[in-house]
Amino acid sequence: MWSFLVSFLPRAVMQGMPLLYGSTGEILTEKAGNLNLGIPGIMYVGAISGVIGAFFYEQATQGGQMIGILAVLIPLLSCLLGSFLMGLLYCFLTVTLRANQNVTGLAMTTFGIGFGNFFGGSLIKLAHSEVPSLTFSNTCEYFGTGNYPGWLAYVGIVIALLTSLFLRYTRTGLHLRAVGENPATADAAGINVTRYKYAATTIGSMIAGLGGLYYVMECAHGTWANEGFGDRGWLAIALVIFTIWRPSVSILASILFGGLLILSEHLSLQLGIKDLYKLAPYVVTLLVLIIVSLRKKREDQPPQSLGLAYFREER
Amino acid sequence: MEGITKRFGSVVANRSIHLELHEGEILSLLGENGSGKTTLMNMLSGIYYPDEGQIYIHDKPVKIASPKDAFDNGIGMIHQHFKLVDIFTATENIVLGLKNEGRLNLKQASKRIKEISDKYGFDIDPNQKVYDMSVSQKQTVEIIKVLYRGADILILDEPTAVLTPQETDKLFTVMRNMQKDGKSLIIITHKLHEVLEVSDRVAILRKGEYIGDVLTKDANQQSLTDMMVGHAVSLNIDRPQAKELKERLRVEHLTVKDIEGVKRLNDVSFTANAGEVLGIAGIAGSGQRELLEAIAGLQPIEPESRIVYTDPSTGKEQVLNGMDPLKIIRSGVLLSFVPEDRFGMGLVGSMTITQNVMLRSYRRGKGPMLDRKFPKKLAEKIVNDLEVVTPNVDQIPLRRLSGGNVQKVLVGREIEQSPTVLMTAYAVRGLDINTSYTIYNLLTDQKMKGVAVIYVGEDLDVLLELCDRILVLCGGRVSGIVDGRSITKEEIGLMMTKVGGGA
Amino acid sequence: MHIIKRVGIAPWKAWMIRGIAILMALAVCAIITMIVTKLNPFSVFKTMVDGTLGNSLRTWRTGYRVAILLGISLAVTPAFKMRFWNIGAEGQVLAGALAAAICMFYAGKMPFFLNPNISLAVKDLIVITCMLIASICAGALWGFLPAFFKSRWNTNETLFTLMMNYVALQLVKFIIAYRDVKYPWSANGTVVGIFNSDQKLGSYQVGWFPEVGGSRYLLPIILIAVLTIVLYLYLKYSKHGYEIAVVGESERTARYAGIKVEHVIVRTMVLSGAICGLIGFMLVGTDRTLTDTLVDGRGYTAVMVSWMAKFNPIGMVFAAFLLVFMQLGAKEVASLPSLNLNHSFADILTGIILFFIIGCEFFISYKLQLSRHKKQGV
Repeated sequence: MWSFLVSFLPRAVMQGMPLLYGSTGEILTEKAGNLNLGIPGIMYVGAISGVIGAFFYEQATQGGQMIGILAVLIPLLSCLLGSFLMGLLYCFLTVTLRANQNVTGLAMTTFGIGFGNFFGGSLIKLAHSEVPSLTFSNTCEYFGTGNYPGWLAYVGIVIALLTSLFLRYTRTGLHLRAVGENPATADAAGINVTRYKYAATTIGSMIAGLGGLYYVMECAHGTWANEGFGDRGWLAIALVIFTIWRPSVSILASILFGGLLILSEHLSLQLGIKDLYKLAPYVVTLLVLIIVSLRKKREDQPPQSLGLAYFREER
Repeated sequence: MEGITKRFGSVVANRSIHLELHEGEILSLLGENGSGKTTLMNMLSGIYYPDEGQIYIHDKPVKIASPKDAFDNGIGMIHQHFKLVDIFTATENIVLGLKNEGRLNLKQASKRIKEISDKYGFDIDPNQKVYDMSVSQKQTVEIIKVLYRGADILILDEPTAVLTPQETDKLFTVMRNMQKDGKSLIIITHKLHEVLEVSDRVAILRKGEYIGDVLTKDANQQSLTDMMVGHAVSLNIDRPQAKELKERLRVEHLTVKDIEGVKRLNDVSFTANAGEVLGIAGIAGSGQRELLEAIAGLQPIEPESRIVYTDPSTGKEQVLNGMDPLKIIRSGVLLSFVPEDRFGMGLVGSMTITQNVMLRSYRRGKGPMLDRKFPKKLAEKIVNDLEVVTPNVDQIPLRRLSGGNVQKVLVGREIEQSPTVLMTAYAVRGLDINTSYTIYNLLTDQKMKGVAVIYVGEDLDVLLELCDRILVLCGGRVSGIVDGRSITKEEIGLMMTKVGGGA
Repeated sequence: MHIIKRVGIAPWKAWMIRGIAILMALAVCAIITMIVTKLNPFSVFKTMVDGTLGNSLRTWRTGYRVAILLGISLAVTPAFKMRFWNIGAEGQVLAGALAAAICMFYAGKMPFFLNPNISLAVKDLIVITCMLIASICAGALWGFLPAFFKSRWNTNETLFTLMMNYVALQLVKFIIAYRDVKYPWSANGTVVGIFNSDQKLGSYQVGWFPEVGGSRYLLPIILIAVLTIVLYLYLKYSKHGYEIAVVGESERTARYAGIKVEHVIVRTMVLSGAICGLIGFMLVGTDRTLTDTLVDGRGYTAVMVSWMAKFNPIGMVFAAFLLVFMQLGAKEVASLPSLNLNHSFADILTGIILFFIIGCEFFISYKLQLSRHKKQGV
């Protein structure tokens, strides 16, 4: 039993971290009233942007010695840039052009996953790889050993905690929540609704994008494979509801979800049953959604203006 | 304020108004609905910008282009519709939007709020969530919000409309405390006894113009009413007498509570007869909307209420309590209703005239498909009969027609149902003179056909010339039911502001 | 610069704006394609046409894909017209497909259907009827649940339907990997073969959609063409359709007119789900197998198709064709031997087109007005 926990727990944490990044980013976005269903796509873009950065740095230093700080910073910054641009696109369409958030998000997911797989595929071709995947064994050394959660996992936990504190205890956090709840009131109080929505959504996208990078560098041991990231983006959105919009709760919940993802591999189960385990996060999330709406506790509801565009002159 | 004028399109909401407010004074701004009180105050609080005129504070000319400018000049307004975030506490709402206070310290803010409320006698728990608050508590939060920002001039837009008498007394105490502290207050109202009770001076607006001001100690209800309503104007609306009156609708002890448990209608009883126009007069928000919606089956009513309908052909009585609109239709009661909020309730703006005409009658005919010929014919008939100006009936969305034409479609549709009871709420609001007369004549025609017409109106001159009887509502209660031919404007004015009327 | 909401816009103007947006999107796509492939746009276009309509097999395949996407788009439309954000078509189709597949799979194991002396027509009649009923019920159930909770307790339908997608997906994965003691669904736990494909057995071809006009694709295409017309009539000319439109525009107006809003929400979502289930049935009947990529994100694409066409079934035919053409065409371009690009190229181009169409709606609902006056009031 002990040995099972020792081998299982670290892996559960590692599987949970991409979800934690994704859900933290999405919570921040949703608190500003933007329901960003593009998160799965943004996480793909974040991952591939990081991979592109790592790829070119490894190519440049071919055989030579890599400088640690650059090996970390280049993928990190390119990941942030990629996901930032995606967040910006989402904001431009939904906030400035007031487009429907659901449709925009879904289109971004289509685009983002396509973008990730296309460039992933192209890099694989560029590297003349035998297998349909790319491995950055050199770069990933700087991120962690692959057996235990590396530093980026702790960064994720810190970001989640800070986001919780930010939303709860700071003036800006208060203003942000007001924007998501009731933009007209926030506007009347002199808060720049557009600026808050842009900031929260782009920063949220960047956090989510880091989750993609984390997945490649740690969960997959520095290996990019097309479709490898799977449906984790949607799980991250499920996590937002499951934790009732609380990033700090999401730290444990994401590890729980991560554990469920790999539990079946640790238990020698019949093949089909494994998929029933994977059903659990979604069913539990549905139950939470239902219970929350039954209880009608106001703090637990989605932000009131979630999904709605704000236009001052329309009352 | 000097020479303030504000126009909306071709409508002049305020015409060169001069208004003065002294330090440490409570000023009442009195006027009927639509007399331009709120517009004028919105220019002080930075929501509108005057087309002409200048505002001075302490004799210095100032420019107020935004709510922020107003705050900077120490002006704060408490609107009728509260701007609060429901899931925030009182404190969080009060500090919302403040930027120059360093980092957020809710404890310290709560302490300051406590200080302010102790100083003026507010009763508030800074950590209570807004969704748990009563209307009067929410109003308190709004007032403290303004004080917290250091306002010296407070404008309260009809603050008592949503309060119980006890809460009103409390508010007045607080207002006097603020006055003692040297703050200046403007209270917008049309309740005369409150004006007399709380203010030092009264300024009166009528139809967008400044009529004058008077010290409260020199005024009484009668003199204020005269200034507010002006002299009766003859409109020459044709008012024939119907041959026979028959009871059609009887309302007994009707009581309606809103979501927050406040009684919007309290023990209202009356009858509406076939062959007469029953006018409903009252200050806005006295329960007119609730009354009509309760009869139409759109408002839950308290158990002691009874709404009884008498069928014109069989003479049988039928209780409408607890019926939804569909049940009312199905039970053969021909009830027509022209609601106040045209696009919010009676019509669909994005649909064509034909589709809107269908709204009442789309269930006609057997089978799952719509009968399209009938509503189109009906739509064309309405367009012809009422001279609706429109390029076509089944292409253009209704929203693109002018207000008068939209209203004609709505009224036309309701009349074409050949109702036995026709209820209208503010049927001529926003319409020009000609269209208004068209509507008056239509209602009178209906009356002569033996329909029981209920007309909720705001213009007393019209009520006096159109209606056979007038029911006056005041704060959700019946203030009196009077004969439309013999009553005077002043008498109704008094009844509107105080149950039973009389000085 | 000042933004004003338009009171209304002539339909032709709106469609012109959308047309311009699509042209601009295509231009951007062409430029990107040129950069990536270094081919001239005309030969790229020719390749795309070739890939989608080049020979009869491709034309059939394109037609079938357009039909399925159109079918799912039609299914979500009634809910959208009601302003009910059903993004659960993916799950509703999968649920229907799963139900149909279970019927088809187990029928092939029953003695009655294994009996070679009973004619295929009789067996088909029984099995296909069962499949039809089961898949419609399953889809309807997937639609009913979110609607029920929405109408009773105002549960957020977007999030609810989203989760339901993955419940259905995991159920499908489960059944594919399921080791039934007697009849395992698949040999290796990942791929289910073609159902009832053993020529030696009496159950050969049981539950397969018959080939009509020489192609197995024609029957679903015809069915969906009929569905398009029926749904067009339903939305535009039926009492239900009228109720849906009124509820979508204003719930208060609907109540005023005596429409029971909760009832309409549940009824419409059951219909939406049932049509999705029907599409799942067609997919299984035509493909004769069940995979977890059977729907392949088309449930989400359908949301965009329906929205792009402004919920007009006829407009959806064109929108669905445009997207399928881009998808299949770009795949064809990507797989040119000289290029050998990744197939996901198609998703990038689809995304770009969608962004332009999404963005252009702004110019339909609002107009920009240049004004030198400072904005006054609120």
